[in-house]
Amino acid sequence: MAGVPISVRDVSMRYSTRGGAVEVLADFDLAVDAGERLAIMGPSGAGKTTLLALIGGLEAIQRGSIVVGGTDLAHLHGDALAAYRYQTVGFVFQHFGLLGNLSARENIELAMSFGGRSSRDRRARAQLLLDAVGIAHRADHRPAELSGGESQRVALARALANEPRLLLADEPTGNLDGETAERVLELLDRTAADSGATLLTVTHDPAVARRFDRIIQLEPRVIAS
Amino acid sequence: MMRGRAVRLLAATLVVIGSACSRGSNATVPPTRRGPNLTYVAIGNGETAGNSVKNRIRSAWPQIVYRTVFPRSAIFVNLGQNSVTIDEAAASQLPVALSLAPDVVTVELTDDTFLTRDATGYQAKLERFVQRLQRGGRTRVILGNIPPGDREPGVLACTPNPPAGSGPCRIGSGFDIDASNARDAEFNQAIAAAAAASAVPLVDLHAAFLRARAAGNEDAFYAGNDFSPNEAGHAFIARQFEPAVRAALKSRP
Amino acid sequence: MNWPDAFLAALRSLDRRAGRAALTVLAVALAAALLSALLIVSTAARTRVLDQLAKGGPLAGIQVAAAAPGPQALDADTPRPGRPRDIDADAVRRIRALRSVRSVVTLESNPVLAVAPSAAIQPFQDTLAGLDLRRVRTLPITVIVGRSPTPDSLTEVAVTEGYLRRVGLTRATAAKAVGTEVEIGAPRSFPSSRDRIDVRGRWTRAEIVGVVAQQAIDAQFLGSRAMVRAARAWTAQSDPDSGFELPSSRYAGLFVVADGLDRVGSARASITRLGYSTSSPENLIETVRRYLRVVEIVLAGIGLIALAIAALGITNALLAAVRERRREIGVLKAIGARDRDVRRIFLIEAGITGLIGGLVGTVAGYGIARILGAVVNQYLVDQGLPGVGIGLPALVVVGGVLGSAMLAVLAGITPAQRAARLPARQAMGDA
Repeated sequence: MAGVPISVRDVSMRYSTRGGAVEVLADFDLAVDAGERLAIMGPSGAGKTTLLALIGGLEAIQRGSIVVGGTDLAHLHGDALAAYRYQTVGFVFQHFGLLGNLSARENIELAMSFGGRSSRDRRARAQLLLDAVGIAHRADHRPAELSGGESQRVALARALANEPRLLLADEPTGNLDGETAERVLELLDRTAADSGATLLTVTHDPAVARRFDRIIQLEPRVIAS
Repeated sequence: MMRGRAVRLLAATLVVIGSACSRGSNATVPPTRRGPNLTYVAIGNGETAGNSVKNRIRSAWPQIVYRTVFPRSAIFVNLGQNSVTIDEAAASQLPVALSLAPDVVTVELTDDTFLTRDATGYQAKLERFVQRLQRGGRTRVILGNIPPGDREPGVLACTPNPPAGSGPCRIGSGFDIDASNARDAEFNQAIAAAAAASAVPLVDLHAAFLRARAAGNEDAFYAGNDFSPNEAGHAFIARQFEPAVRAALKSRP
Repeated sequence: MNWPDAFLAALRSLDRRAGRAALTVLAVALAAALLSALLIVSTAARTRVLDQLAKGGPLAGIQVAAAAPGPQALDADTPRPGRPRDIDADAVRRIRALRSVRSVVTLESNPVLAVAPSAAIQPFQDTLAGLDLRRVRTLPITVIVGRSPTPDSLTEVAVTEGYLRRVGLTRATAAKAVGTEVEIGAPRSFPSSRDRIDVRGRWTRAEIVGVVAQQAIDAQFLGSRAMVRAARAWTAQSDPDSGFELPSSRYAGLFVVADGLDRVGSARASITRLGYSTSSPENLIETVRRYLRVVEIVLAGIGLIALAIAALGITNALLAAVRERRREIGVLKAIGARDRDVRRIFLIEAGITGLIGGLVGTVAGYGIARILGAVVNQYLVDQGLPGVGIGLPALVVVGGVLGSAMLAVLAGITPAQRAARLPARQAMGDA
């Protein structure tokens, strides 16, 4: 399945904090081609994660527009937004985001449970993905029983569960040691390439960023209201 | 008015709720085993009736015998009456006794000693009396004889040298104790003869009182200026009758 | 997300926080146990009272005195009777034939002399009452302590409070009288003349097996009908010229059981028309019923308060869970969960908690009620009364299990709503 192009235009995001308003993105523009692998870098507070959350439909757009695969996210709300996340996006979090009360397999199956897939189908696909990320032998272990690398592999498998056209990874190797991080990145690369999905990865690590097709650098913009 | 009603309502409510929610006392009694329905009748004189005790229902010797010897299921009627001859008893007490179809009857009819003084006639009458009571053997009859009268306070008060503290003589100062003792002996012989003739047990109260006298206990059986025994005396008489009554119960047909 | 998946997710969530879930379930269970035990007991008690009232029993009993009706015969529960009027077999037959009358138990009595065990108490004269003791449980005779005499016994009596007073006891110490023996003598007078005897007693001895309230019997001794008839047979042979006063009425009174409380009034009116004074606790019982209702409401209120507290516990536990699981909820949304999927999971969690708590609580409540019932039945059997059947009413099961579950779901609405509205951004941590 091909990836989706992304168009970000004049997007501004501002948060209210106790210390005042914080503008993390201001009139931000970005265009990403379908299937492109993009690394987003920048210091803390530059808006990297916010940009990812906006593109992933986790956060409402305050100003500007984001069009993903022809869909203007500003027009999506409620169930439509949930459907977008389910059908189009696959997330990989720095903290893995696995549900501790479910096994690795169940975490992957859970991601497929919001779209009406049969349990047999889900089970078969979960097994496929577990094999693909090389973690089948740990399928019935819970996250607490997995290492960081194993957890991130499960998280990656879960992100791929619904065959997303857009993979969003927020510091996917941030909690991993060098060797493990390398293996996870290789896996991320390979799976993105195999699926043709557009891949946006937030990272602090220039070495990680260099593996991607393109790197964009965000700068912090802080304005006290 | 309102308060009384409220209290009644509250009490009734508590009873209803209590019947559902509380536990009552454990003071329960298992059902009584029904013993034999025995009937005991006491025929006799004023002593049998319980004269001279404050509470004849509680302390008369036949009542004590009933209480201590008979099972709870037994019925007891005391027909004793004051100053009664055997003829009078035959008219008043005997028919009632027979109507009760008793299992055991004690007979202590001794007033003829001073009322008729006819020991010979008395013996014959007593024999007939007993035979009628026996109802062909269905009733066990027990006879009692006359205790010695010479230590009765009422008698001692009439002697030439009454004991200190004696009351006035009420039977005439010419009362002849020896003659009285002789009559008692004659009547006791008649009673013994009647008992033998009728094959009924005799409770020898005379001998028992003499034994008590020898032991120095007899005076305690009388109180005040009386001719009849007190509570202790009745208890003593009851104790004399008890073995014979027990034996009679065992030999019941 | 379909219901089975949501159920599974909820179950897994509870499993992960098993300790907290167990405590929440326990709170619900305790509340449900309290509520269901109270309901079961009060239902049993009410059923029993209603049974007595509706089908006829002690509470539907009417006492008929051997007297003509007095003024205001039907206005009061216990009116003042008029002049004495004998109750004979014919009167009994006519009362028994009344349509609103279920049954009639005759009360016979005889004057007696009595000797209490203590020598300090003088023998005294009172009355021995007797009736068919097989029917005692249908009569308004309250056993205070011990039991009523066995029906055919000639050696057992129950005494009333008058006897207690005479021997220096009170209701509180009434048990001391039980097990003691009393000598009872039926008197008979003979013509008074030189060669005749005067009054003689026919003595029997009886064990006091119980103490009964005196409101229904104007006598200090209650025995079997056989016992009082034997006494009566002796006393009846008394010399008519002796001046010895004997009751002329064959029956001292009657206990009439009406065909239910609603028939008590008409039965009383009919008996009054036949010329006898009646009394019954109909007004009192009606008020007792209302009091009973109030007690039920109070008991149910206590249970509901407990359940409300348990519901607050559920809300609190779920709110805590929402606070703890903000990121997890965000992740759920990030991977496609809709608001209603999240809400559904939380509501199911609350429902499962309530259902298990309600089930455990209802079973426990039934057990508690059974234990209470056993205690109560022991008491009732001691009193010579039939026991109370402790059942599990369908309403209690439905109320206990489904009610608890529903209440829990209601308690879970606010936390579930809060969870559903959490922004998906929570998946990535705070901005």
